[in-house]
Amino acid sequence: MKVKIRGLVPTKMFPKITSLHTFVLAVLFLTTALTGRALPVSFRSEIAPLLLAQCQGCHGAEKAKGDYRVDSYTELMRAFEEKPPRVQAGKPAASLILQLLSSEEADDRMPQKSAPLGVGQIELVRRWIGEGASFDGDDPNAALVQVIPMRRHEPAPAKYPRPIPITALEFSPDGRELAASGLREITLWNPATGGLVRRIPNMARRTLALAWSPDAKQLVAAGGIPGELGEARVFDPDTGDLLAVAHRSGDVVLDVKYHSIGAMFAVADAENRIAIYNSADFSRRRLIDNHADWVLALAWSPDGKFLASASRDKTAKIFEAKSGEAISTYSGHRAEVFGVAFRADGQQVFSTGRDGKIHVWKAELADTTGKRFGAEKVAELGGLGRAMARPRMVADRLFTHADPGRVRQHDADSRKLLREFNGAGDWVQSLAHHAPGHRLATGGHDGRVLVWDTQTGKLLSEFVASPGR
Amino acid sequence: MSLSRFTLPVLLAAASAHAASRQVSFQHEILPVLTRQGCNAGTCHGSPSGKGGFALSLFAFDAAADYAVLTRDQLGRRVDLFTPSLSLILRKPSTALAHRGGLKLPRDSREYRILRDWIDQGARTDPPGTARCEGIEVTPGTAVVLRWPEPVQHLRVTARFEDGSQRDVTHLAKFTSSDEAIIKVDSGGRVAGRRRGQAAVMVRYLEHVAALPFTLVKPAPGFNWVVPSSANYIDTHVHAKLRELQFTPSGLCSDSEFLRRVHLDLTGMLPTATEAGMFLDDETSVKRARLIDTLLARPEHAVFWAQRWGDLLRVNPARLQAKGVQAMHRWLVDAMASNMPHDRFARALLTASGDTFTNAPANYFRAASSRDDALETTTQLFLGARLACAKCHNHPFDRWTQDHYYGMGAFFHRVQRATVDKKKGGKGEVLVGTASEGEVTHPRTGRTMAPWLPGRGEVSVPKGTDRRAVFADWLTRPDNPWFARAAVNRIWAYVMGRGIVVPVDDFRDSNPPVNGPLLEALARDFAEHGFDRGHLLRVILNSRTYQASSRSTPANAEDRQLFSHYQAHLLTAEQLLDAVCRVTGLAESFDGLPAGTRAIALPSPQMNHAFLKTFGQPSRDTACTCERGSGPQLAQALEFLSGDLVHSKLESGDNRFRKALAAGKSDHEIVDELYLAALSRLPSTEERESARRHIAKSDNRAAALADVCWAILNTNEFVFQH
Repeated sequence: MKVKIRGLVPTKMFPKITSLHTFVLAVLFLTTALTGRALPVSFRSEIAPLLLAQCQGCHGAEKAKGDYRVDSYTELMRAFEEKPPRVQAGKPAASLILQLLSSEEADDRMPQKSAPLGVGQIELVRRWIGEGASFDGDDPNAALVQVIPMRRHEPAPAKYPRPIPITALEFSPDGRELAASGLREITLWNPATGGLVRRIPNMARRTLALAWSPDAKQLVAAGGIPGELGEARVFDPDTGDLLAVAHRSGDVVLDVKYHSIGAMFAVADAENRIAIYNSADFSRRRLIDNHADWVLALAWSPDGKFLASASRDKTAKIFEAKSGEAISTYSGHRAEVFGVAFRADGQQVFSTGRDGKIHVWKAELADTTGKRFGAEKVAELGGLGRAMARPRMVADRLFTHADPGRVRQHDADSRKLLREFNGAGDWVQSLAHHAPGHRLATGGHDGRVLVWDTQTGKLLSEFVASPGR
Repeated sequence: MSLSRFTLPVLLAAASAHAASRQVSFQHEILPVLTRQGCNAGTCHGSPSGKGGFALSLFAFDAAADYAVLTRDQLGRRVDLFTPSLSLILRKPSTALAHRGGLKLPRDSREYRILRDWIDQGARTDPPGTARCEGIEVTPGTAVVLRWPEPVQHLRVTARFEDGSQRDVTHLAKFTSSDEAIIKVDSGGRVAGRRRGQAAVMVRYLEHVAALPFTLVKPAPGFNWVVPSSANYIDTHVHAKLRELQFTPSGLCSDSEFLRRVHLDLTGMLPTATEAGMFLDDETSVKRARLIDTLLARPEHAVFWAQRWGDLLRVNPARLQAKGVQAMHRWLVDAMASNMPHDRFARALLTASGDTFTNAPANYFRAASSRDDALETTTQLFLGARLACAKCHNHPFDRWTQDHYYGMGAFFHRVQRATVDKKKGGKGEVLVGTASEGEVTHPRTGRTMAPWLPGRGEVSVPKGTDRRAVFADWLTRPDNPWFARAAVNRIWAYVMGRGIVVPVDDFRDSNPPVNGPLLEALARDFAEHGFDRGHLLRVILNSRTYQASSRSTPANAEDRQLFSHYQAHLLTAEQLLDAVCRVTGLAESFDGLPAGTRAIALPSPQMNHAFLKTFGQPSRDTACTCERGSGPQLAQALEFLSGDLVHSKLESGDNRFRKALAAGKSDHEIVDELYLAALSRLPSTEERESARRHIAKSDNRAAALADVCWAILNTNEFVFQH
């Protein structure tokens, strides 16, 4: 299935991966390629990662120094005006790109102002050009990050040498399990006892957000490797099987939220994008490239028709999920916006930001005349300290957390502070809520998970969510 | 996929392999490294909004915020506790990942290792009770003289901690040269001279800043020091410095040069042709000293120097209203005329209260209309310190911190200003007074700031005492090192054309005086003589240094800062306008002022006078001397070549040479008169001859004389003070 959206790259359906063999083969293949040098240099697995890490920062779609881009194979090979292409297939010595990479003059050398590439890296480029500078993927126009083969991430340590900061935390729909961010894995815990239930490997280095499908058949983990890779991986939470790598980007994926009906989920990444995927086949329904900076958090409206976003570009927005159109923008924080949540009736949105405040604003839609700009503020709640993270809205209760470890519960209508959950010694980096079970879990930077009863305010359990700690 | 796979044995993260035995200190090692590598500079992540979404505090003044940003912010993305080398704060600046700021942290550097070890140890803050750094010492501690052929010096930086311990922090300090053309300093503290001159090396470790003055001596070919006579201690100090750097001072200026120079400096006006003639004819040996005394006593002297203070005190109607301007102008003229001691002058302004129309000094706090303005103005005017940077963050090039800013601000916090407008039965005057309470809150820490004084620390002011009086007491004490220095440097710069510290109101360790002993001696003399401005001027103007020729010699042409020869400079806008009026014999008229008012006597700037604007008359919006434009510009040349003002005065039937023609004077007499009036000297034989020839050729004597006059006005000798 191919869906074309607003002239963007056609989305690819990711194969359901059920066997480890593919990976083993791929790894073997790579190893041979890297050591034996018997095989030709691969653009996808050897050249593209190099371009992505070292060149695309200055020669990408956002910033194209010298009017030259390397963010796809096509761009890399493009001839500019009358000049010959920078890469001349088969002729390494005549290729400007190689001359610039290996220049002795620091002022001429690429990457500029940086340490020169290693001898091995330059040799790789030379061989690739010499071998014909060919493209070994499906779509030469695809962004580098889409072209690089999916990774099999290294296994997690059996025992953690130190507690890992809990940056993502989510209750299973039945409330019996609590999924937490691990090191290259997701860990599942019994929230009542703090016992480790299961480990799901093959996740990227960091997990920054987790989302269960309402039927508990899928667990989506968003994260990546800072500055290098972003992924949203879909796992079978029972078997630990990787079902798909649904989303990829050049920097981390920051949030994921399952739609309440469950047919889709939305992700937000550090390439300023929001994407919505079908949960049946993981095809992309919609790509929203509207924010001017990282999209840090998402929230579905209760009716599932709208998606609110919080961004480092100092705005929060509401999009219509179906069309992907932005219908409202809130810029009252005048600072990075860290989190958003809809009120249960969908009429109001709560957002938190670096200004240390919760802003409450109307979730009204644009009028048909198109005159409306900017959402209307209803109220502002201060005194939070540095508000750091994503609020959670549950029924008529709003939960927020901020440094240093303060978790608060507000009445969503009166905005009155109902309760504080004190006990986290370090910054709370994540928050999970299970409404039917009246459970609230907080994940600390120090690795501690605290589970509370939201009705009584009682601390129920406390554990370090790092295997072996 | 079976679950058994999860139990596969795996290697422990390699991180701990690097572990250093000693705990790396966040405060004392990590923050200095960020400063040293330039991460938190104002142009990079230290800018208010950071770079690439990563914002550090400028030069690490906010340790808590930096710690949060490095370790917790954005879900802790910047450090990797399990494989430290994968941390963004290592991968980016070492350019393992693309970094817009370039290579700042090579993988094989000591700084890289310090950061990596710190992360490896858990990226923790320092344990409670860790001794704070109290200061740094740089060795060698005194001014250093570097000599060819090996002008090299290694610096060592030692930090003192409050528990009495000391540590070598050379590898953590940041070194900057004030003039890379003269000295270079590398990150290891190795200083190498490049050419003859003076420069300072600034050393920063945390908020502690030290600066070390360097003198680079390179043998000048054929240098042969012939001891010139010294008129007073000024010459002694200037000569000592010149000798050290192997420059020879120029000889004395001619009588006519001195005459013109000293008239302009003391009265702002050219000497009249008569005065010039009399002085040049005078044969007594003490005539220069006598002229200085005479001019100091002239009312024009008071008027001209009142204008200089008027600039700094922002005496303009937009701030003070016309009545306030008048009051302030009169007060300043009186203060100058009576030679009011500088300490009394400062105190009168700083402690003034009451009605700004009737009690002129109160206008000080009308012009400085807020606490911060009053603080910044006061420190700039009377301490020679620019504190504005420290409002938002610690001063990047000086020892002033944000705490100092708000601590000193406490002295001005209670000043109140109430405008009495028509509705309240007044005419727009402002009543200045002080409240009996009110404290400054530090905007970052939220602390209540006690009044704080440099060199004294926090001071307690008894209830009911005007805090400003306490400040003034401290300021004007004879042993206050800043007050006298700032004052003498300003006065010196006015008459010498260049300060001993440049800019005159930017005293910093990192901006040392070009001649420290000279500045000290002047300041001491000034304080010992009761801050007597007249005395100081007399000493300076009688020095050989002041009276040196403006012509350089091959042995001092390279010097522009040590006063080996007089630095010629453009006349001020007002001086120049008055000079044109004087030469042409035609007064200028100004809006709303009596006919014959000279430009140097204007109580406030003429807002729409094209000539004055072109030549840099300030509109008096700031307390900075720099507001007065001093650099030559094309528009200025055009003003003389073809400007309306000069043209109309040359065309006027009432001007000097047309009147002289009407009175039947000869060409010779008229040309002599023009030269005397404009240049305070008689024309040379050639000049006289070429003027004569030009007039003879013409069939219109008046027009020909206008040409001669125009030519004189267009000489550098006329528009420059030399």
